[in-house]
Amino acid sequence: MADHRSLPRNKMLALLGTLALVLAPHLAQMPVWLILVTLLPLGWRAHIAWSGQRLPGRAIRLVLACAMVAMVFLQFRTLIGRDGGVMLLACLVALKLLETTTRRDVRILTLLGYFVAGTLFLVSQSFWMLAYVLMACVLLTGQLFAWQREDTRFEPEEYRRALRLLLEGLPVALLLFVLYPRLAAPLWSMPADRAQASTGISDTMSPGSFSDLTLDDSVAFRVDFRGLAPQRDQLYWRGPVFERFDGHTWLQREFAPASTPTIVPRGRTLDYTITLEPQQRAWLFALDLPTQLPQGARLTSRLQAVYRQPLVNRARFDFQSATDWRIDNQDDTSLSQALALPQGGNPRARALAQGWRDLPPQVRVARALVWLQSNGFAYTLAPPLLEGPDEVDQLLFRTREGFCEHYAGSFTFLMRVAGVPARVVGGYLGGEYNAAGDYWIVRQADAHAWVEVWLEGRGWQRVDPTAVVAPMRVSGGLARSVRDSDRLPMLLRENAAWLANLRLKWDNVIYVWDRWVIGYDTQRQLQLLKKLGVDGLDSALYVAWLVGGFALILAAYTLASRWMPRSERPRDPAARLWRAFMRRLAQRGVMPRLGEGPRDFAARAAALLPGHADAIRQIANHYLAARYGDAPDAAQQLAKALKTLRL
Amino acid sequence: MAHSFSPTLAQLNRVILGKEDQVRMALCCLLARGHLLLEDLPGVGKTTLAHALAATVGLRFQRVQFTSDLLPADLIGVSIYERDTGRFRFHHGPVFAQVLLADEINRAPPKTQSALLEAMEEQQVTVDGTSYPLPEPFFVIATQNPQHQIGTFPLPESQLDRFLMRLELGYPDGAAERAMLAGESRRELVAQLQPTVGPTELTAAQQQVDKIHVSGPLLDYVQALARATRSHDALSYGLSPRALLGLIAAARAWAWLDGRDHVIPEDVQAVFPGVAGHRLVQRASGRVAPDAALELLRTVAIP
Repeated sequence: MADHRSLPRNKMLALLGTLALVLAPHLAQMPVWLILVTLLPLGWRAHIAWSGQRLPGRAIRLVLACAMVAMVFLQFRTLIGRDGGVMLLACLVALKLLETTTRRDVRILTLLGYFVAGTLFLVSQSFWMLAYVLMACVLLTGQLFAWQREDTRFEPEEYRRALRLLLEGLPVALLLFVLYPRLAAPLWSMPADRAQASTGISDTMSPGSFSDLTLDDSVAFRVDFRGLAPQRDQLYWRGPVFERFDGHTWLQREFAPASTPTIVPRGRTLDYTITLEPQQRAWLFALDLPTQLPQGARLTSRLQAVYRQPLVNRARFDFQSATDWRIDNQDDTSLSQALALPQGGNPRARALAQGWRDLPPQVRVARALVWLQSNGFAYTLAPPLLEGPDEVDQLLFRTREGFCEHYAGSFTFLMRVAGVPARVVGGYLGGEYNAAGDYWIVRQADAHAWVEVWLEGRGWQRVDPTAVVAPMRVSGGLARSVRDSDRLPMLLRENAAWLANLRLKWDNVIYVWDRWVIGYDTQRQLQLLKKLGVDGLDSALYVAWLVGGFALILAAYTLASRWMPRSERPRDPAARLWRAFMRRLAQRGVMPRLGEGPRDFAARAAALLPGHADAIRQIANHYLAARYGDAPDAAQQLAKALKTLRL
Repeated sequence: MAHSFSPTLAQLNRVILGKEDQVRMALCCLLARGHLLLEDLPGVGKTTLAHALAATVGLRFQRVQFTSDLLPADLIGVSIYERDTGRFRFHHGPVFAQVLLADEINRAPPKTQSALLEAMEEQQVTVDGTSYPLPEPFFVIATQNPQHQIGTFPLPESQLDRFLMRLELGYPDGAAERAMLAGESRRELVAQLQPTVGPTELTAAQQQVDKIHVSGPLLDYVQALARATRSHDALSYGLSPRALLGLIAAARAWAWLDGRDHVIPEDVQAVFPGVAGHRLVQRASGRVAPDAALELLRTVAIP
C-alpha cells in the first residue's frame, strides 16, 4: 500500500470538506447515531491527514465495513431503496476515505462524490436542492482540477474554471432535458417530504379545526385559469363533505351510496389547472361544481373529486367547472341522512327552527340567514370556548362569536331541524392572485366551511352563512374580515405589502419550476414537441431537432472559442501562428502549462509525440527566432512549417 | 553561433563534478560582468569553484579569508611612508586582482564588507584622495555560510543587491560524490588547470554578450515577472530596476553560452532563480526566499 502521506495535507482536508458537504443533506435525514457512524471515518481520516499517522489496517477496515452495513440494515431493515441504499452509499464513501492513499483513489472518491450529489434529488427536488447540487458539482470539479496538479498550493482559479466548465455544459444539459425521452412514471415513487405530513383540512370538522389552519400560510394549491377567472367570492374550492353530526363533531359518511347524482351544468364554464401540493390524502379541490375531471379522478356521490391514490407528490390536474347547476337523481337514503340529527340537545335552536317548518324550503333558508344577520353575530378567529352538550345553543344564543366552521355547523343544524336536507362542505375560499405569473395561490389559511341545502327541483345548492355574518371574508379575504387582535400570519396581513409582493414574485419562480421542471413529463414533452412540429419520439423530425440542437450548440462553442481569444489576440503574426500550433497540440493532449517557455513546451510535446518530434522542434525554433530574434523571414518559415505539419 | 567557451565549461565540469548548472551560471555571471555570491555549507566546493574558474579563464586570482577582525585596509591596501623617497607609497591590497575570492564574507564586520562592496560597484578604490582603478575584468566571488550559523554578520539587502547572482551548490549527487572520492584531490586538479581562454578573449566575449538581441516580447516577460514580484502578497518588496538590468544581462550571457544571438524566455527562466532569489525577501520571516522565484516562474504567463 502506498504511503498516504504523499498526498498533500491541505488538499486532503479540502476533499474531506467537500465530501462532507455533499453528504450533508442525506445525513440531515438520518437518525443521529447513523450520522455519527458516517462522520467517524471522515473525522478519523481528517485526523490522520493532519497528524500524518498511519491509515488503519485491512482488518480494522473490514470490521468497520461489516459493522456499518449491519447498522444500516438494523436501521432500515434493507440495504436497498431510498433510505437504506443512500445510507449504505454514504457509509461506503466514508470508508473509502480510510484506504485512500493514491491520487487514483482520490479521483474515485471525487467521482463517488458526483454520484452522491446526484442522489441528493432523492431527498428533495426543490429549486434549492438543484442549486446545492450544482454548487457541489463545482466544488467536486474544482477538486479534480486541484488534484491534477502535483504541488500543494490552493488556487481559487480552479473553482472558477470548474464553474465555467459547468456553465459551458449547461446548454447541452438543457437540450437533453427538453428532448430526451421522459419516463411516463418515475422509476420509483418519491416519498413525500416529511414537512408536508399533517397539514390541510382534516377529515372531521369540530369547532377549532378550521381556525387552526388560518395560522398556516403554506400553499395548498395553485390555479391557472384559461380565460377569465371568476370573482373572488365565487371561488369555492370544494373538498370533503361532512354529513354526520354527533352533537360536537361533523363527520364524513363512512359508507357512500353507489349512485352518483346527475349534474346538469348551467351558467359559465370554467377551464383551469390545479397544481396541488403534496398531501396525505387523495382529495382534489375543484371549483364548485366540477363537471369534467382529469384522468384518474372520480366524483364521489357527495360530489367530491378524489384521485385514485394519495397525492404524495406535487401534481397537476385539469378541471372544468360550472358556476351554476341543477342536480337530479339524489337517492333517498342520502337525503334522509342529510336530515339526521342526534337525539336531544340544543333545545333553543330546535325551538327556533321548528318555527320555520311551515314555510316553503327556500324561505326557511332565507329566514335562517336573516336571523343570523340580525342578531349581532361576530366573526373571529379566537372565539370563546364552547362547553357542554348544547354547543349550538351556546353559540347562537350566548357567545355569538365564531368562525366559519361554527356558523356552517350551526346553520346545518338549524336547516335539518327545519326539515331542509343540509350538509357541511369543507374546502377553501378565495385565494390570492399573483399578477407576476397570472395565477392564483390558495393557502391553507384560506380553508373554509360552508353549507349545502337540498332544494326540490334544483338539487344541492350552496349557502354560506359566513357570508352573512362577515361579508368581507367572502369578498375580501381573511385579513380584512378578522379583528386586529386575532392572530394571523404576518404575510396575510395587507400592511406588509412590499413583503407580500416579494413573496408573490418568489412564489412565481417556484411555480414555474414546479410546472416546467418537476412537472415536465411525457405528456408535457409531447405537447412541446408538437409545437416544434414533431409528432412522436420515433419521427425523423425528432432526430433532426436533437442532432440540429447539438450541431447548433457545437457551432456556438466553436464560434465563441474563436471569438473569445480574439479580444486578446496577439498582433504579432508569429504569436498568432504559435497559438494555433498550441491549440492543435492541445487536441492531441499536449496541454501548455502556465509559465512554460516555448522551447520547453516543444521539448515536452516532442517527447509525447515522438513521430513529430523533429517538426515540432523546428516549428519552435522558427517561432523563437521570429518572436525573440530579429530574423525577418522566420515568421514566414514558421507559417510554412506549420502548413506541412500533419498531426 | 559557436563560442569559444565550450572547452572552459568542459574543463570546469571535470573539476566540479555533477554541478553543470551552477558552473554554467557562474560563468554566465562572469560574462555578464556581475559578481557572484555562493551561499552554502562549508566543504561543498565553493572555494574550489572559485579557484577553478579563475584558473581556467587565465585570470589573476586572489583569495581573502574574511574574519571578524579583518579591516578595510587589509583588503584594499595601505599607504606606507617610504623613507628612501620621503613619500607615501600605496601598497595594493588583495582586492587588486582579476578574480577575488572573498571567503566567508559574512564573518567580516559590516565596515569591511561595505569597503569591498564599494569597490565592486565603483570598479576602483580611493585611498587618501587618490583613486586606483581596479583591473579589468574584475570579478568577485564571495562565499557565505548560511546565516543561521553562529558568528556571522548578515549582508543587508542593499548590499546583497550588488551581487548579480546568488548560487547554492548543495551536496553532490551519489555518483558525482563517488567519482570525486575515488579520483584525484581537487586541489591538485585545480593546480594542474591550464587556461582555455585569456583575459582578452573574456573581454571580447563580454562585448559579444552585450550585443545579444533582446526583443520587445522578451522585455514584456521580464516586466511581467517584475510586476509579479512587486504585487506578491508574501514578499516584502519586488525586484529593483537594477535587478532587472542584471536579469537581462545574465539572460544574454546564458543565450550566448547556448550559441544563440537572441534571448528567449527559457534563458530568463534559467537565470531568474539565481538573479532574483536573494533579492526577494519573505514578508513573514524576513529572510530571503529563493523558492519564491521558482514559484513565480510557474505562475507568470509568457506574453
